[in-house]
Parts: sequence; C-alpha cells; structure tokens
Amino acid sequence: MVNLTIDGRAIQAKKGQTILEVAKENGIFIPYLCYHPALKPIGSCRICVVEVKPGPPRPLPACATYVAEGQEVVTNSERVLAIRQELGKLVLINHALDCPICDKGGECELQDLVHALGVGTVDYEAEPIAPNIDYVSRLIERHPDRCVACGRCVRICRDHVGAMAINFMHRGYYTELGSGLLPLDCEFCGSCVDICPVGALINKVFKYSARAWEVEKTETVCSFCGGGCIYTVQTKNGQIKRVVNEDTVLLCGRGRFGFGVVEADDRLKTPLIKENGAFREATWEEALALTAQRLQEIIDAAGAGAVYGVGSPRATNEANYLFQKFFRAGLGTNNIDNPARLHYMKAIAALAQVFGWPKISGVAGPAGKKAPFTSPYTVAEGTKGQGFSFVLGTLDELPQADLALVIGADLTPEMPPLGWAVMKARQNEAFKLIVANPRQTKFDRYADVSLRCKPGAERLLVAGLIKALLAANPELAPAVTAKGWEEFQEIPKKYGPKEWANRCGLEDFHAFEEAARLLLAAKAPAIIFGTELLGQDKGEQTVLALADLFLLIGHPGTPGSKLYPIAEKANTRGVCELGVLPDRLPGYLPLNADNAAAFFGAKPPAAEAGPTLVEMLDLLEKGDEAAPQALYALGGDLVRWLPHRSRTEKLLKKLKFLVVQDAFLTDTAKLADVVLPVAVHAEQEGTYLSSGGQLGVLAQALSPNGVRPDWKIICDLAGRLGFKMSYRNPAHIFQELSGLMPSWAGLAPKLALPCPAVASEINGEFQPFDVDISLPGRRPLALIIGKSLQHSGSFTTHAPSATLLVTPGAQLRVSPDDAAALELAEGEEAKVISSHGEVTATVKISADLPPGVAFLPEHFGEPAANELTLNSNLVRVTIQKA
Amino acid sequence: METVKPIPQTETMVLNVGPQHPSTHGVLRVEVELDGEVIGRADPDIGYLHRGIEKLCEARTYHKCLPLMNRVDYLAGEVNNFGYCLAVEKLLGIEVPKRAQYIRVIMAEFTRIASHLFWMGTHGHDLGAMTPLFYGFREREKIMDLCEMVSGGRMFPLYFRIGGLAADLPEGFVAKAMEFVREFPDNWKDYDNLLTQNIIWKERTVGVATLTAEEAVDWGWSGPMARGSGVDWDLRRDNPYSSYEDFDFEVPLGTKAGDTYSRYLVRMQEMLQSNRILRQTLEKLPEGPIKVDDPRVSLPPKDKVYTDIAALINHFKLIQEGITPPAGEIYQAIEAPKGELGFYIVSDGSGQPFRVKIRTPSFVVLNATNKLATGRLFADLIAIIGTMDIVLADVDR
Repeated sequence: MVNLTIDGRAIQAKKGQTILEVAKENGIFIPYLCYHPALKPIGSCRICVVEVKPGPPRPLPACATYVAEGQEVVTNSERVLAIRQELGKLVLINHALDCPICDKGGECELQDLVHALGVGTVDYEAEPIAPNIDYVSRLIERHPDRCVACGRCVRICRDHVGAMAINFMHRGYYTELGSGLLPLDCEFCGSCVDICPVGALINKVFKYSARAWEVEKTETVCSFCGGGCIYTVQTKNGQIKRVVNEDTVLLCGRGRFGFGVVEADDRLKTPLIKENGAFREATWEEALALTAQRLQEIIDAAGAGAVYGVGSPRATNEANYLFQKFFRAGLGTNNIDNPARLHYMKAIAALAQVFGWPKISGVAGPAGKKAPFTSPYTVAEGTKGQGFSFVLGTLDELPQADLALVIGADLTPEMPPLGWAVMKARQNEAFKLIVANPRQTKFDRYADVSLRCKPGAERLLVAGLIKALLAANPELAPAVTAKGWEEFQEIPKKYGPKEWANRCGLEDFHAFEEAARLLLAAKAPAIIFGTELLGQDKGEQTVLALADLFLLIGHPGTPGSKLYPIAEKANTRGVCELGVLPDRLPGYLPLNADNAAAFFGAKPPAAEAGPTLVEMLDLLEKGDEAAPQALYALGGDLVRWLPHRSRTEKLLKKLKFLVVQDAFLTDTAKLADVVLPVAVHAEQEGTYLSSGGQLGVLAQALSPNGVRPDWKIICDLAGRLGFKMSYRNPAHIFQELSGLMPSWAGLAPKLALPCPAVASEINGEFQPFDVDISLPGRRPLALIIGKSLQHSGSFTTHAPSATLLVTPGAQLRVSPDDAAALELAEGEEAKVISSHGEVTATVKISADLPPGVAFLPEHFGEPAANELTLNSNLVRVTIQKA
Repeated sequence: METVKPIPQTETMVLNVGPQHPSTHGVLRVEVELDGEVIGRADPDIGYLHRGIEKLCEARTYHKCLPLMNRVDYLAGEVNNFGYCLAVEKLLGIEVPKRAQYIRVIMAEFTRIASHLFWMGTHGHDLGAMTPLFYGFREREKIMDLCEMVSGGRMFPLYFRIGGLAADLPEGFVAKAMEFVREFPDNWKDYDNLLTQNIIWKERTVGVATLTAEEAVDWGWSGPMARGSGVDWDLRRDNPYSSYEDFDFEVPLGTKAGDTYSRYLVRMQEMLQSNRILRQTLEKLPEGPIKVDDPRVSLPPKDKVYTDIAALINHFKLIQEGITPPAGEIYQAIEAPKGELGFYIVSDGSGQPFRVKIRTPSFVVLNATNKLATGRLFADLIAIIGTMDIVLADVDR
C-alpha cells in the first residue's frame, strides 16, 4: 500500500495505480477527456492535470502519473483550474457548432467537460478547416470537425478489437482520425462509436432516431453468439433504437447492429397450420389444439417413443428444461437431442472421455429462499468437483493465460468476446499466441507461431506438437495426473518429424519445434478451439487430441490455463447442460443416476438412451420401427444446419407430423404441419448459459406482440396432452431446475461456472485418436463451410438487420492461385459442385486462403452451403464458371 | 372581548362554508359547528387547490420549477420566485450582481403593495365595504402594468432567474415606477379615509380574533400576522437578503390587542414602508450586469449561442440537463407579503431537485382558524378569513 494525500485528504492506494484511478475511487472529481477506464492512458488531452509534490514544478496528468509514497496531490488549485479552462478552450478552438443536431448531444463528454470547467466563451481564433466528413462508410459516420483527437477510438480498435482500422492522420492542428481517406472497411463492430467522447463517430442506424435522454434502458443478454455479453437495450416507443455495452463498451457488429431482426418483416406473427400443402394463419387455440390432437393420435397408436424432440440453442434454459421435462416426465421417453450434437457435443463427448463426466459433492443446500435466477445450492468448504467441467475456462480468466493455442477457429466471427479476451491477454508482454488453422484468420497477425495445416489436419498438428514436445524434452511427464501416457506415446512415434509435417501440410518441422518451445515455457497455457474444427465428422477425435495435449502441458490449477471449446449460439452450452440429450439428464447426469427418478416425475425412469439426432435420421432413412413418426422442434433449423441438406429434407418429409416453434418460417418450418411463432431475446425473460459458463439474465424490453415465449407454449401443449405444468414465470422454472442441479452450485446472474471456490481434482486418461484425415472424393478443392463476422446463424440475415449492409450475402472465397487457374474473376458467379449437390455463389478472391482451399459462409438460404456437405463442414468440390 | 358565554348544552348544527364561496379566498372549506350564532368549532378543510407543486419539482430542472413557484401565492407571483431563486443560489454558493439584487427588491416591494391592496379590497368587501376594493384595484392595476413592462406577464411575470434576471429593466420603467411611488402616499390616504376611522369597520374588527405575541410565536406565525400581535420580527431587517440592508425602513407593529384591526393597521403601514423602500431602490439603482457571470448557471446571450461553441454547449447543457448544484440541503426564507416564505431544497447533485419543501405562511396561519374562531359569532369567521390574508394556492401548493 502507498500513503498519499489528495487535496489534504490522507488516502491509501495500491501500488501501480494512477492518481486519477485513486481519486475516482475516493470520490474526488478530476475532469478528463482522453482517458477511459477500459483503455490504457496516453495523457494526450492534459485536462486531468494536478499539482504533485514532490515532483516537477509543472502540473502532471493524473491519468498517467502513478501514486507514490508521501505524495501530496492538489487537484483544484487556481493554477490547475486555469490551465484546464484554457485547455478546454483550445479543444473547442475549431469545434463544429453541431450540438443541436449531433447525435451525442446530451451524452457528450465534451459538453459535460466544458460545462463543468465553466468555459463561457472561446476567445481564440483559428484557421477554419473544411471538414472532410465521411458519409460513405457503412454503419459508421465520421465527422472530423467534431473530433477532439483523444485517440480513444484508435486505442480500442487497436488494443481491444484488434482491427486497427482507425488511426491518426496528419499532425498538430491538422490532426484527424480516420481510415486513410478511404471509407471504413473494418469489422464494423461500432466500438469506436461508443467510446468516442464526442460525436465524431456516429452510429448510422441510431442517427436522428432518439436522444440520449429519451430512451428507456433494459439490461439483457446478447443472443448473437455464445459469448453472453451483457448489454443495455435502449428503446423508445416500443422499438429498439440501439444497444450499448455500458461497461466495457465492446460489442461486435452483429450485437450492436443486428437487433433489427426483432422487427423483421418476415417474422411470424401468428401460428400457421398447413392445409393441402399450403400454410394458413391460425389462432393459438386452433394451432395448439391441432398439435395436441395429432401428437395424441400418434402416441396412442405407436407409443410415446414415436415422438422425437429437438431442443434449441436459441431458447432459454427455462424453455429447454421444460422441453426435456415434457419428454421425460410427460411422455416418459429420452427421445430428445439438440443441434449442438453436430459440434459442441462432440467436444463434450471427447472431454468426458479424457477427464470424465462432471461430478460434484459436498455442496450446501438447497436453501429455501434465494434471489431470482440464483442457484439454491452454495459451494461449501468441503465441496469437491471432478470431471471435464472444471477444465473449461471462463471468459474472465482467459486474459490471465500466458499462452493461447487457437486451433480450428476463426476466433472473432465465431465468438467475438473470446477475441477481445485474447486481445486483453496480449496486453501482458509475456503472452504468446499460437494460431493453427487451414486458412489465415485475423489472429494470425498477432501470432508468435502460425501453423497453416491442411483442412481437417488439426489433430495431426497436435500429434506433431506432442512429437516436438517430446523431442525438446524426452523426460516430459504429463502436467495433469493422467493414466495411459506410456501407451499414448505410440501415436507420435508413428511417423518421423518430417512425415508429420508433410501430413499436416507444413513444409518442415521447424514451426512445431518453435511452438513446442513456447508451450514448454508457458506457465498457464490455454487451448481455444471452435466450430470449424468441431463441425468436421471426426471433430470428436480432434478434441481428444487437444485434451491429450492439455493433459501434457495444461495447468488447470492456474487461472486461465483451461480449455475453451466454443459453444456457438447464445445457449448452446445451456441446452446441453440442461440435458436436452438422449443419453444424459440435466447436469450431464447419467440416465441411471441415483436421483434419475426426479426427472421423470410420475413416469418410470427410462433407463435406455434415445437415438441421437444423427441416429434418428438414420432410423428414418432405414424406415426402422424405432424411427419417430412425429417431431417437435423447439427452433433449431435442421434443414439449414445439418449437413447433406437434401437428405434431411427428404427424411423430415417422411414424418407423419412435424411441429416447429420458431420466430421465422425457416427451411424446416416450411416442412412443418404446424408452426408456432415465438418471442426472441428482447421480448422475453429467462437465462442463457454462455460458452464461458456465465449465467446471463434476459429482461423483457419489448412487448411480444402476439407471439409467445417458448416456455408458455410448452406448458400449454403439455397440459393439453394431460401433463400439467404450471409456472408463474421463468424465475419460477429456474428455481425448480437449479434445485435439481447441484452442479450449478453458486451460480447467479453474471457469475460463471465452475465456481472458483470448488476444490477441483483434475485427472484424466490419455485417449488415442484417429490420425486418418482423408476427405472422401476426388474433387480438386477442399471447401470449408464456416462463419462470417456479421452473422449469427440465419438470425441476422433477415432484413432490416443492419449487418446486411456489410455482408449482404454469402461469397465463395477462392485463393488467388485457384481463381487464376479456374479463370474466375471477383464478383463472377461460380458453380460449386460436390458429390451431393451443387450451388451457385459469387466469387471473392481472398489471399487468406492457401491454394486448394475454398470457403463458403453457412448463414444464407441462397446459396445453401449444406447442399454440398455429407457429414462434415469440410467437403471436396469442383468449382467452375457458372 | 371576554364576553364569550359557555355554549349551552343544546343540539349544534354543522355548516359547510365553502369550498366555493366568495369570502373563502379560493377554494377553502370550513366545517363549522354552530350553536345558534356562536361557533363551537371551525375546521378548515384544505387540499382543493393542491397541485403537487413540490412533487412536480422533482421531475424538473431547477429552472423549470420557476413557473410552478409563480403560482404558489398567486397574488404575489414573483415573490415566490424570489425565495426560490435565493435558495438555489445559496445552494450554488453564488450571489447575484448588485443591480439584479436591487431590481429584485423593486419587484418584491411592488408585489407586496399589490398583494396588500388586494387584501385590503377583499377584506373590506367581505365585511361590507365595497369602495376600498375599487380604490385598491386602481393602484394594483398600475403595478400589474409595471410587471407587464418587464416581462409581458402581469400576475406571473416570471422575470427572476436563478443567477439573476431574465433581462434588464425596459426603457421607461424607472420613470413610470417613480411616478407610482410619488403618487402612492396620496392614494394611500384614500384607503385610510375609507376604513381606519370607519365605525362599522372598527365594530367588525376591533377585538375580533385576538392572539398575544407569545401565542403568535407558538403558532408559528410570521409576517404581518405576527407583527399585528406585536412580534417584532421582519426577515428583511433581521436576516437581510438581496441588499435589504442598504435601505432605510421601519417595521410597523400592531397594537397590544393583537386583533383584526391591529393587523389591518400593520398592513396599511407596511404599504407605506414598501413605498419608502421603492423610492430608495429606484434612486440608488446601480448600473451593471443583471446575472452572474458563471456559464454553469446563467444562459449565454442568444447571439453567442449561434456563433460560439462554448456558449452553445453551455446553452445545451443548461436547457437539457439544467444547473447542477452540489449535493446538499439548504433552507432560505424571505419576508413575503404574507409572512415567512421558506424553501427547503435537497440536491443530490443532479439537474433536478431531490426534494423541494415550501414553507408557506398561509398554511401556518390557517392552522389557527379554530383557535381564533371558537366562541365567536359566525359573522366573525368572515373577518377572520379576511384578516389571515390567506391564498389557498399558498396553503395547498
């Protein structure tokens, strides 16, 4: 601790704090302009000057001066006040007279500052500069004549977003901030808009639609990825005007600009019933009665096993819990699964093999009365935890890692907050980054080692890394207590270094050695992997390899040193943890768990696992007796997201009855007999469990206008089928579900799993993995189906989502070499043909791709990427001129 | 008058006076229990004119409260703003320029005369003397014209601002005001002739509703009501504000009797004293600015708003967010025509007051109705309401 006085007040501060931070903590007002709590100080505006003794005779900027023992700080001497006033005038010297029409008016830090400093008039004159206003860029408007050159946008873009799209231009009086006299071509996250203290950067979607003091604010959770950012929705007259993150400012493009989807023209407003092959609008009563009647007929004729349920990563924990309750306790079957089976569940299954399924013992509770959305269980002194959930890292601890291996993930498009966490980790100078991907991604520019492998060769990379680790240190022993190390060493021994490198598609083994050196030196290495890897048919094998690597070098006891599988959608992790799975109960409990009966209510516990989503489709294809006759889909557009679209479509048509609950008439909903419209995130209450395990609470900001939240529909339908479920609100449902899940002990809004107070015992078992990476077929190019930065599922592709301005459609990315060989020019239409289908897409030549690899985003209905795939997000294709 | 007989044990009658009755000075309902002609109990029932002014303030910027304040005691519109502005200025720790202080005194003293003239007219009218009303309104009209000159508003000029005044005095104001001041003593004699020695007037007022000085203090009375009972207390002299210490004036006291007639005499004399203050202010009126030179408080001149960014910003902030006094609480009272008008303001540092409590003289005085009326004849109740010089807007707020 450091002792100092500020304005005569004796104050204790931590070493390494700045005077400004200490003053803020103690409620002493020091004005500032260029400083922002989320950014590193640069001390450029000098408004925060204070007198410091002992120190130089001139005043010092409080934001960039550290506290020291015995310091005497004066924040309000006459000299300092005069300096601030004069500086304020100089900032205003050529400021546009725009307050009445400026979007920032009313929340402008410059206004606040000038008014607080008491600057009455600007008695300087300056050469007028013709403002070079940028009206051209998409989503963001730039007014250099309002700029105060604080550099906040530069810093957030460079240090936190990592896009480096804005920088200082010119010098001195002529300084302005911009993108090199060209329209912005960046990630369009808009963080620069919100961090700008003035109106130099303006959100074009929000522009002129509301004033800062007119909006109503509702804190809720973003639903556009698994990151679980908590943001504030600002509404006026029942319409969302903008969303902001009032805490760290950071939001991604789809979070900030994608909210328009809520009022999309093509949203379903009433239930639909299919009659004679065409939909007609129906009342809720009609639609629910028909659904109940048809399901009842099928259950009566073929038993409860004839109904299959598909949960949704878009629906809340509460809705998904009720969904599985409806199937288990209402119908007595385990015939449920969710679309995460195709990606996130592969990671969970592999991690469970290596680290075991999670077990928790010794929690206290359940306590009777708790705050809403708070687990009734608390972590006690003797609480012990085991299993994979204790090697999953939270977003908050990731910046404490000193090395990150990002593999099989284009980080920012998959989960922007994870990208910001890595950027934050980079602020530690010792931090090292290894990026391993078949194509160049944003984070390659920050990587200490970039490993460019063949598509699908990620696990060979891991094997090569293990080989290199052993070469660097033959005595290497697993860092985590684990069985099977001796046998496991056979895998890296299979090939020599050169051979491993070649099989991965690398030229030599040198990069492996370099990466291994970094891994060995790391004290808290983190492993991050995403859906690009998990979506492969052998994704589970790759995760096994990564888990094995973690056993070798991971330090799960050290904060940050964890595994970070990306759960793609808002509640992908929640839908899995809540047991919308055919073989696991909520909390990943096995079907034969001691308290299994609690989940089946009055029905006898069904000990037999139901078919997984993939198996269910196989059963349908075979026309098996066990194949379902009716399917109840809680969102989850199977036709769009499952590989081999034509097959899925064909199989779903075999069903006698299909009911889909969704906000849009999705490709799957088009096949349905009944479609029930649901509320989206800003229209309902409930919780999401983010990829990092954080519980986010949704608050209702908008009226649902006739559509209903999922949980109400499920309750109604269950009641009509003779299974009564009545709940007051989502908090009531959460109370029940968390009471059944000791694994969520200590969980509360904004807190993340696992609770750090749990004493976790982590041990594992090395699992051998498959090293065959061959892609079927002889077509010349490997096509990767992946994510685009501006879209989240198909959700944001509905107009008027503003992100469509940036990415209006899917573009087929082709490497320059391939484009030259195929004689394709940018913007041309090209035909992509696989053995299972073909699509036509617009070509974009991209230097990010190595020759032989092409890329197509998955979000759009046209071209539908899954027309091409078979069982993986990788497929061999032929590309030709259309 | 110690002739009050004990009420005989017979059936009493409850009579409603008001709320709509010309002699109740607004919407006052008095529930009177009568035993024949003698009042056994007189309960004033208030609230008919409650507009929630104090609560409304909490959702407004400090400046936006001013039009509400005008309407607290609507017979003395600008005086309410005087007290409110002084309170907020005290909270801000600022003092308005001398010229503004003098002009405020001018407006306040004119308003005092207007208010007293209205009282005299209606009080006389209530008790059967119709002529004072006409004479009183003759001079009151001239004051209204002066108010109209400064801002356009007659009853509610809305001329004061936190930090000073809306604008300087218009050309010709001082001359016209001086003319009023010169003529007023002669006009005053007209009223004096009508009532002071009028036998009917004296019969109706002497010895009616007496209160000793001690009791008056106990009841919390202030202003002419207290001075009518001989309490020597005037905030202008004893706790001067806005340069009242610069002027010579006397504080007229009533007779020992503390009756309605005594209070009549006090108010009549006060008009002359106000006139005396007015003469001094108009003669000594200094030159200079009319609002404080602090961009955090005073609006910039409009032409600057269009040309100077700092002025534009300050204008924007003052209009949108308002002035932001530091967190704290303050009490400021002034000598209003009806007595001590106090403002208790709590600031939480934001642009809107956290709480505004207005201590109005009418409310305090009205409390004593039962005390004054019990045992008196019913006809005296009209004299009592008249002498209290209440305005129900001031009671209910």
